[in-house]
Parts: sequence; C-alpha cells; structure tokens
Amino acid sequence: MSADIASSCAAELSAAKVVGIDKRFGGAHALRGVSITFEKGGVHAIAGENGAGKSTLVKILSGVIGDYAGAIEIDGVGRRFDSIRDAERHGVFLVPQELSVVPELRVGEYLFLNREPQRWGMVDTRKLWADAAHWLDVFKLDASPLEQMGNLSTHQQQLVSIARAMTQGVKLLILDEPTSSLTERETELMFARIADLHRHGVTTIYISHRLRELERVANVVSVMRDGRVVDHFRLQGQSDTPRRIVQAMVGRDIIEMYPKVAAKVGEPILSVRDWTVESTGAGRVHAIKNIHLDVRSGEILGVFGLLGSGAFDLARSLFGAHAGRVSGSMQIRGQVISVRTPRDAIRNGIAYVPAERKRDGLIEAHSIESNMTLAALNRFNRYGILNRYGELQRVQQYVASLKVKCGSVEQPMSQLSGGNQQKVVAAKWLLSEPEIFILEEPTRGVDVNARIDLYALVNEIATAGKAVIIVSTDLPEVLGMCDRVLVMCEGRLVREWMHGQASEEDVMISAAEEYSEGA
Amino acid sequence: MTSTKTVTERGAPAKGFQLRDLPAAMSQDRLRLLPLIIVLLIVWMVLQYLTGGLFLSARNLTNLSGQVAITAVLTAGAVLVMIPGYIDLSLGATVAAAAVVAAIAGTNYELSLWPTVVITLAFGLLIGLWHAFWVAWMKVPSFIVTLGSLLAIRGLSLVITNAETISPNPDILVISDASLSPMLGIVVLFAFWLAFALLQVREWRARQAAGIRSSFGAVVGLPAASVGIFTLGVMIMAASYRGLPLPVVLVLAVVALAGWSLRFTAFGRRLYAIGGNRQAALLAGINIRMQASLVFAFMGLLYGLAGLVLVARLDSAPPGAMQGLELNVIAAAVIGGTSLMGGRGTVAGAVIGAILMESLSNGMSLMNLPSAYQSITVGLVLLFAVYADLRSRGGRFGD
Repeated sequence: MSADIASSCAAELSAAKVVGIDKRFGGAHALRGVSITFEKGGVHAIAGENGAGKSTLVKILSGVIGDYAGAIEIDGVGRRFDSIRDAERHGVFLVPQELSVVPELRVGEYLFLNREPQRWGMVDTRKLWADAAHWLDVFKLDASPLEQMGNLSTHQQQLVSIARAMTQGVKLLILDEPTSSLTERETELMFARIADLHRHGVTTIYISHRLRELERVANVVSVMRDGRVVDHFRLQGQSDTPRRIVQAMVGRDIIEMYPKVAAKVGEPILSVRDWTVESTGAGRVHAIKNIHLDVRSGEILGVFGLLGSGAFDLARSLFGAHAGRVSGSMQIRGQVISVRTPRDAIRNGIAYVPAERKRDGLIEAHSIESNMTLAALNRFNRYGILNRYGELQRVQQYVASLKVKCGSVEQPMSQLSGGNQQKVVAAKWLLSEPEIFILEEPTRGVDVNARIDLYALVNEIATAGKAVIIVSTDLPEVLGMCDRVLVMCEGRLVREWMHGQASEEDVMISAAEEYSEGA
Repeated sequence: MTSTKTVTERGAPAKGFQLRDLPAAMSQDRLRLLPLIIVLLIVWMVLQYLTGGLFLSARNLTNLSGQVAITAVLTAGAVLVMIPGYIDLSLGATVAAAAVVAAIAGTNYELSLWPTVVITLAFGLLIGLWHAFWVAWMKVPSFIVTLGSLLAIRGLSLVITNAETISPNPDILVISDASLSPMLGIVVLFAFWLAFALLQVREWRARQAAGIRSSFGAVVGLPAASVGIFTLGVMIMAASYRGLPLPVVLVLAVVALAGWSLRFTAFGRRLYAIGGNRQAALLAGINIRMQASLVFAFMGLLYGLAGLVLVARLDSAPPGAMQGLELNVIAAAVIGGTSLMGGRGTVAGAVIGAILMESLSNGMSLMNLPSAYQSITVGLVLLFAVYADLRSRGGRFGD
C-alpha cells in the first residue's frame, strides 16, 4: 500500500521523501516501512493516535534519532542526519510541542541566538534589531524585538520559534501539535501564518490530534496506525475529512466520540456568589468580576472561554490555587465554606485536574503508584505508617478499571503516554473521594481511545451524583459532554445554553464578541 | 482479583518484563544500595591491604565508627532536607556552636549530664526553628538562610568563647566512652536488622496481595542481605573489641527514624512529592510549610546531638571546629544517590556514602598521607560517583 502512495505522488515536485523507514525499539516495532512524499510548498498533515509512530517518524526526520533503516531524501538528495544540528544545517527544523525558549533573552537575541550578525568581532546590534524587526513584521507579530521572550504568549513564542527557523533557511518545517496550548483565536492566527509559509518556499509537516484543524490547514493528510501509513489523501473535494481520518485511525465512527449520558440532575452542590478574582498579570484589574454559579449533583457544567476570558482563573480560584485575591461567597450543600488553599478545597470535597499536566498535575520521575495516592495519603495512614496493602490494592483497582496501559505500577510517570498520565491524575482525585470535580482541558494531548475512556469516566462520576465542571477550549468537547454550557468573556459569564441548544458558531461568536472589539 | 489479573496479563506479553521493571525498581532507590556497598567493600579491602592489616582491626574500626558517627547522623538529616529540594549549608558552624553550648553549660554553669544534653538539644532545635521560620514562612531560599547561619553562628561561637577553646565537664565524656556490652550490642543490631527485613517482607506481601508481579529477591532478599552484611560487620566489630559504642547506637537510632519516616509514612511520601514537583505537591493539598518546618526542626535537633558527640569525642569545644563539614555531608548524601534537585534519595544510601568518605580519610591517615591527599581523593570520588549514577539512569538528571 505504501508503495503506490509513493508512486502516486512521484509526479509532484517533492521537497522531501521518506522511503521504507523502519525502526524498532527493543521488541516494539515503531515504524514498519513508512514511505511518504512531501510536496514542495505544501502543508502535509500527519494524523494518528499516540503510539502510531508519528513522533518517531518526526524524530528521525529531524535528526533526533539517527539509527534506522530506510532512506530520507531532501530536495532529491539522500541524507542521513545524526544530530539535530545536522538536520538543521540541511534545512529541516522541528518546532516541538513543548517549546523550550530562553525566557530571559529578548526576542531579537533569541531569533539570532548562536548566529548573531557580527562586525569587528562584536555583535552588530543595529543589524540584529533591524533583522529581528523585519521577521516580526513578516509574521505580523505585535511584539518589539526588545521584548523578553518570557513575556510573550505561547502562541507568540511559537511564531518566534518558526521565525527563527526561517532566518536559518528552513526548507522543511515540522510543527508538532502547535495548537495544543493555543486558544481558538490564536489558532486562527497560527493557521494564517502557516498558510503564508509556502511563499517563502517552505514545506510544512503538521502533526495534530485535532481533526478539524487538519482540514483547515493542510493540503494532504497521511494517517498512521501501528507504524504504517493506512490512509493518504488530498483534502480538496473531501466532504467529511474528520470522519475519514478517525475511521482510518481507529476504525471507529466520530459520533461515538462524545458518549454523553444524561444523569439525573439534583440539588445544587456548589453555589458561588459575587465571585471576584483579582488578576495577577498586567492589564486588567479583575480576572473575574461578580460571577454567580450553581452546579448541581449529577450535572456536567461546561465553561468555555478564550484565553484571557477568565475561565481558567475561575477553575483555579474555586480550588484555592489562584495567586490573585479572591472575594465572594462559596457554599457546598448549603454550608458556607472558605477555600484559601488547595488543602481547604480538598478537605471540602473539591478536586482539580489541571490543564498543564506536567507542570501542575504529576511528578514525572516518580512512580504511577506514588502519584496516584498523593492526594489521599491520609486514607492509607494507619498508626502513623502507610498501609501498603490497602494502597497497592486501590492503585491496582484503578489501573484496571481506568485501563491505564503500563507494565507495572512501579513505572515512572514519564514513561506513560499523555492519555495514560491523565488517567492516573484522574485516579488520584477519585481516591480522595470528592463531591465536585473541576476538570481543566481534561483531554489535552490525549489520544482518541483514551479520550473515550476519560469521557466515560466523567459520565460515571456524574451518574454517581457528583458535580462536574469542565473548563475547556475544546469546543466540540464542551458541547458534546456538558448538560449546560456557560461562555465566559472578559471575566464575566456572557451566555448560557442547555445541552444540544447551541452550535459551535453560536458559542464562538458570543465568546469572541467583546474580544474582537478590543483587538 | 479478576481485575488485577488483567493488569498482570497486560504486562506479560512484553517478554522483557523483568528487565523493563528493573529501571523502575532502581528509580525507586531499592536496588541502588547494592553497587554502593560493593564499592565500599572494595575500598575497605584495598585500605586493609595498603595499611598492612591495620584498617580492619577492631581498634581502628571502633575509632572509625566514632568519626563516622557525626557525619552519618548529620547526613541522615541532610537527606530529609534535600529530598524536598532544600539544602543545609550551616552544619559546620551550628554543630560547633552546639558543642560550645554543651561545654559552657557543663563548665561555666556546672550543670550535670542530663541538663547539659537537654540544653544542647534545645539550642540545636532553636537554630532549626530559626531556619524553618525563614525558609517556610518568609520564603527565603534555604541556600541563603543556612549560608547566613554558617557565617553568623560561626561568628557567634567565636564571640561567646572569646575565640578560645573551652573544656567541657568530664561528665559528658560518657557519650563517646560508653558502649553497650558485646552481647547487648549484638541483640540491638539483630533487632535493627530484623525490623528492617520484616518491613520489606510486609512490602512484598502487600504487593503479592495486590497482584503486582515482583520477585522476592528484589524486594526482600537483596535489601535484607545488603543491610545484613552491614550489620554483621558492625556485630563483629562490637563483639571483638569493646562492644557497641554509644555514638554508633545514636547513628542507628537516627538512621532508623529518618529512614523509617521517609519510606513508610505519609510524611516521607510528601517530602518526595515536594522535591519531585513542588507545584503538583501543592495542588495535591500538601502543606509544604509544615513539612519544611518539621524537616528543619529535626535537622536542628541533630545539630545538638552531633555537637554533644563532638564535644565528648574531642574533650573540648573549639569554636572553629568542623569547618567544611557541611560540604562533606552534602557530598556523602549525593554519593549515596540523593539528588540536589530533590525528589530522590535514601537515608541508607547517604549513610553508606558517609561511611565511604570517612573510611577513605581514616585509611589515608593510617597511611600517614597528609590531609591534602584525602581531600583530592574525596573530591574525585564525589565526581565519579555522581557520574556513575547519572550514566546508570540514562543521563537524565533532576528532571
């Protein structure tokens, strides 16, 4: 199959080509003879679940992995990269999912880091700032070359990273999940820039979990499964791209993506009045202004908002984890409570799954087991000593019931895929037996199968009479899973819909209304 | 039971399960001890050969145990400080100050043994609480707080003694001179080993009950054998010379307390979590302020304890004693597998690191080599130990 894909594209001008790439990691066969041709100036998307082989392929292309079978051609010349620098010298650049910028450097310095224009043995600062300004202009970035990298938003940092590749003569640009931490609006801007890249003679490889994005940004899609290319098609003239991709990826229909189960909605569990949160960043004084909120037992409440809308501030402040000052009253089942720290929140039966899993949610170097029981250690405390019998039994129970794929519960978290990590984080909170679950971006960076498991878990929690709040920028998820959807904008709740009443367009428009005025 | 079975079956298809499990077990620091013990034994053999049989004589071992006591007690505490990501640079100064306090209490105020002990421990605790206040409440980095103490408390000792060495009340010498009779010593050591082995058996049985595949050898056999070799060595020393010296008993007690709280209590688990990812620990509801305070308070008590051992050993309290001790202790902890970034380390490993370092310097003194050579050796050992540790982890450090 891969052979005829290669031949069907051979007529096109190819910027790069991989032929029969094969790679094993010990017993695991990561890539089984993958052949893809990347057309010059095109945007070529690669879709596939975690573990399908996408990232291995990308690592081989960008010189991270130097040991493989098969061949790579760049502009018709066979190449074999043994390091990232080597690949970059030949025009292949990878912009990784988790950017590693130097926050202290200024934008201009970062753009030309290690390649500073020189004059008389010194950095030619005039040329440095002028060139930097030029590239910022090309990317329509509203930032000064003198700004520090750390002050830029993720999306701006990404664009600067792409610009950095541009200044070094990139031919093949690989974007790994570029939108995973972007809001809808930033994603739009990112797409506009990607669409412009071909003007500079750049070929783009685009990797994403988000299927709807692919049809907006790519010309060609290759779908991978189990180390093979299983489908390969041009997007032009396709009627239902996401469905075709999903079917190729998992052999499952997209309708099943959001298996919403309506639980019996009962009395309010959490009630919040006059909730105001001071902003910790520059600009506005209030991240959230006078919000009233009720969440009932058995209810899944969705909160959707663009970046800066205050949706994430709301989630963090309800859990006592917001750095700014919080005022307002909170009641749980009619009892007035005060939540100043995460400890208070946990004691009152609130759980919080953070969006930044690696930063806030887990300890990567530690085992599955010790991560899972961290929030509920008191439950295993017996005569001052940890009850290992009980602890290990519960851990094993959750590993089995949530289908966490691992060799052993002793494995460090860093060896798990994003979806399995998220399941462990979820289990950590289930163990603390809360009444209210606050889930921030619950399926960010999670593959399709694990997503379905996580949604099933959310349904189960709601059916058990708990209250769930999902704060997400994944609009289909919010609309598909929630009984009620609230839209936040500029720190206020602006609209409310019940399940099935709103379309994506409705929600998007109300979320972006004031935002666009300001911009 | 059926649910747990599916898990083990899922692990089964990969044939290298046992091997793949090994790095995980290693990262749990359960098998880290073994290579370290082997290195220690080799060093002992070499020193035995080079000193013509002097090194492993019962007399020298008793002498060595006295030297090790101070470093080992403080290293056990330092591991507790370092696992949540803090550091203590004040050791040399604070221990010397505690020794000065003990000497003054005995000589100038003519207090008897027990009041002196209480006052010295209280003094140590006070400094520990001072550190806790600045680190946990005022949020000053522990590096700075304890560096401040290193300078200030050394100065304080010099001021209150007029830079003169004070002799303690002879009562206090009992701390270094007393020892348990050989018979009692052996019983204590055996009890120590048995408690350790039983806790490992308990861990193994808990795993079996939960259906987690793990070999008896890795969980019980190897650790119990490693600790067994060690206790057996101490037993032989105790039986063949003067019995079990009190400083060694103190080390065992501190090591048992610190090691037990790290491995078997929620308190210890939380320390690891804070060092592993502070933000995630905070969001899991861990009271970081309380944990840090307890750790520094405990460290403070150890200043007092080490000060008492020091003054008894030297029969004097020189205010300028123990310069550079803090770096030796940190080096011992790091050699024993403790990460400077936090989140990783064991008391057992650190104590073996301390024994290794003290053995080197003791052996080299026996060979009449100047202390400059000791410092060169220890420096290179530190470098090599950390390098070997890094390589065995696949080059990932602190993340």
